Amino acid sequence: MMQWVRFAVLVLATAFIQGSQIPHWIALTQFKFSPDFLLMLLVFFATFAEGPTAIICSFTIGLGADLAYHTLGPYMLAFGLCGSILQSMGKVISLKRMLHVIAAVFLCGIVAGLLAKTFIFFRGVSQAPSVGHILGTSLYSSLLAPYIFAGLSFLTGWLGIRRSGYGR
Amino acid sequence: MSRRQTRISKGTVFTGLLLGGLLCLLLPQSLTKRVNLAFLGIYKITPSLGSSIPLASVSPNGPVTITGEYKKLQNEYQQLQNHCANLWAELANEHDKTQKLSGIRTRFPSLAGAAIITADVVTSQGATDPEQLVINRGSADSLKKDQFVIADNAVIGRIAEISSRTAIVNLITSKRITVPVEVAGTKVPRKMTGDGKNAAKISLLQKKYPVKAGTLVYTCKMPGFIDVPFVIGKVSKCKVDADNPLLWEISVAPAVDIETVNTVSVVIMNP
Repeated sequence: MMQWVRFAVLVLATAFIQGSQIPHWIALTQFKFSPDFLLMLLVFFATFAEGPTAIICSFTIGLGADLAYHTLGPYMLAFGLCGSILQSMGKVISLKRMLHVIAAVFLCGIVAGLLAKTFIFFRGVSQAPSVGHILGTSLYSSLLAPYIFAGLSFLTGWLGIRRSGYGR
Repeated sequence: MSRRQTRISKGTVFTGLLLGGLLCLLLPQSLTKRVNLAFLGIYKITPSLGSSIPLASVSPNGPVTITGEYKKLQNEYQQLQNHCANLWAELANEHDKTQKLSGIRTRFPSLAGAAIITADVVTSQGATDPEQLVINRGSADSLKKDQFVIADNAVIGRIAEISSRTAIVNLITSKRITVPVEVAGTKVPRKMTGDGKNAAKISLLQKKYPVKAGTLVYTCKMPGFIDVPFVIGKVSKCKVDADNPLLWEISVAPAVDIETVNTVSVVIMNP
């Protein structure tokens, strides 16, 4: 049984870190590409949790991203859609291998970033991230993802995730 | 006792959350901003970790700026720049007078003795005629024709018509208005006329005067209307007059983004 309170604490803590200066301390290149921890969390839960749980997790992580990036809506939809697609593709892909994890986070980052960019454009409140930044962030996050996944795998029991078949 | 579990299909969950996300996206920013601000309150606990919110936020995908806050700051910056330009003009003017009229005490060129009437812009009328603004002050407030109207420390127009409670302002970009101006550094007064779009033109300025894009343009002193040079715009384009190669053809951009002006001030020199 999924421990939703613990999951909420994890998402809020990650959103707090994401919205803070911490990602910028480890930013790379002159363009300040920083990792997206919420994106890694999204891919992890979308692939390791079961059907409806994975979808709820995806939208909730998206909401956390909205809190971190200060515009409610765009990331919730983008992450929700991406997580749902990833969850439905679970029978096709396996994230057991490191290369697959990297590829999944990278692609998911690009798709979610472009979707969020579109939604931010429609909302018209804040400036949407550039395509270059989406690519840079996705690449950085994908390279960091295997280590974060290793850490998160210790929390699966605490969070009460029943791993779906393809995630194993 | 066994716990009863309600099974909800993936499709239902997805549709519900999608609708929830769309609702969040469509809700006005004034409502959703409260949630974001509440979340930002957490950073008060550890200020060193917090980002430079709420003035400007930084996303992991690059700098994301809250447009409203950015525009507000930009307006304030523009106001300060105009104010600074006015101070420089006043200083230069004072310096000239000290040199030329040493020993003669003259009136300090400032608006200290003048009355400044603040007025709100009635936008509906402004929308119908882009060359004019309607303000909610009139003859009952001592307004008179041809008085100068300023916004954000720069001249934006002159009073054209007055009723008891409202007045129509001809903007400096209007073809109906001609303002005596001086391009900074030339000390030669010339007439500036609006082009009817979003700029104004200065003609008959000889090419020997050094003028380039970005040079400030000031109003000339007009006793009874304005006693100090006031910044009115910046040279946006400067090219040789096609009809007379000895003259400049100068385009001037207003010093203020007139479209965003909500409040103006009317200068009454002799209240």
